[in-house]
Amino acid sequence: MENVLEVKNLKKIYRNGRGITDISFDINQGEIFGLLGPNGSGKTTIMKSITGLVRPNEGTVKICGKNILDNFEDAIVNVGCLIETSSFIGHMSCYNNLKFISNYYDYIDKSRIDEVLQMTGLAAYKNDKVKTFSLGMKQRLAIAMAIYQKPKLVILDEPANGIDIEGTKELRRIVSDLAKEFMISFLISSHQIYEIEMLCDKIMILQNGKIIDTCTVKSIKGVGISLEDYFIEKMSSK
Amino acid sequence: MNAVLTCTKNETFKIFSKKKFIFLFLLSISITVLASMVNLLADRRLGGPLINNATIPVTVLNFMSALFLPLFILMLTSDLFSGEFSDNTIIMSLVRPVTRNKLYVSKILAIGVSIMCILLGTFVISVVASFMGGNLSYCIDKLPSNFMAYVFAVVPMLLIAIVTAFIAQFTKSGSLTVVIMITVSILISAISIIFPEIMPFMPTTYLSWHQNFYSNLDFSKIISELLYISSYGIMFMFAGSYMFHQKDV
Repeated sequence: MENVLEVKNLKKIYRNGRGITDISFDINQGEIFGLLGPNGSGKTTIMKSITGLVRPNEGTVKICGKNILDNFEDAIVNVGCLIETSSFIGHMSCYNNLKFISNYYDYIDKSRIDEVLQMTGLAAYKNDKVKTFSLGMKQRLAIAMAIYQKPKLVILDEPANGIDIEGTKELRRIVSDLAKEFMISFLISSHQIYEIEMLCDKIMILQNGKIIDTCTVKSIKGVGISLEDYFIEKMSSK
Repeated sequence: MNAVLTCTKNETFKIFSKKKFIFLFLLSISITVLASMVNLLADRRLGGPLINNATIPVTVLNFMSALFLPLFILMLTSDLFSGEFSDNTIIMSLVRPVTRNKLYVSKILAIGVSIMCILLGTFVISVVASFMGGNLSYCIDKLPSNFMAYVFAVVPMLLIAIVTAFIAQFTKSGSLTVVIMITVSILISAISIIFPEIMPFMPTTYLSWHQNFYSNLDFSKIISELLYISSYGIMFMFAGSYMFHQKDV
């Protein structure tokens, strides 16, 4: 299977001394990879380093074989992301926000805008200004913007934040469908262990910016314990 | 190049969709209309115009380039840089297939396009206003030089945008960038008064560069002042884009 993301010895230390060290992992095509860890464990920093939002001190990030630092445009074209808070222009409509980003991908037909609006359940609100949206609707729009360009890798940082129960279930369906049908890979971080357990094929547990474990969800289930218990066990053992 | 064009188009669209821009565009046109109305009224009631109608485009441009446009550019540039960092909307552009350097250049170009639109809009209105006051042949005579002055007024205004974009790399607040820029320009003016000999080296000296196009063209002065503007522009552009490139979000 094609390797979509390759992270090797990633290190990023902020001025306050916090950050991540020695992070290495791969994501294959169609794989859903989860990042688990308490607040400040480095999940967002990993995602920001992959997307070039922060410059790592050491290490390499390759997306579809292209180094994000040396060949940014060719690497990032394969990535869609939602990192920290969703980011869009509030005074513009939902449709115009998608049209705004669509200009960067002129090889994709504009009808894709309606397609992603339909997929995320926002078609009825396409002409509404984003500043009038609820947190959940903003999150849906951010997901629509992340998948617009049919990326090979989608990075979602706390995607279920602010989304109601039905929306969360719908989000799970969207992610699994995209992974199965279009072989899109996902890198997802969440505080909701249940979400990760339901969605991911593989997980990485982080603490204080370091990897404490990488395993498959299947292997944990095989042992007969829940991911929650496994996570707590790993955290307390370190 | 294609990425820069796409990005410039996007950034310009972003600026044009801001209420602030529409308000300032309408305000600049209102200033011109108001100036010509006051002049017409003075002509009818006081027996003569306050200013020669044919010079309305020049008067309006002087007013705009001295006060109105620089303030507008400060607000716009700080919005596009510090403002976007503070509300995280910058991420929307940073995770797209365009390098940070190209994005930086595009933002500056988009500001240039917006200024040009305001200047050309104001030019058209001010020319119509000047025609209404009579002395048609003088107005037509002055038309090419006034047009050049309006077009080239974008050059010193772009320098303000470039310097502001550089300052914006140090702050995460749009209003702080504006305050710093105003303070710096006051300091530069004060220093230039105390030490007049350093005036030629101050970037603020060349903000009225477009006035060289009002009458007889002195090419040596135009080129030497343009070189000063370009030097400052290049320096601040490189420094600003380097910092933008290195900045963690």
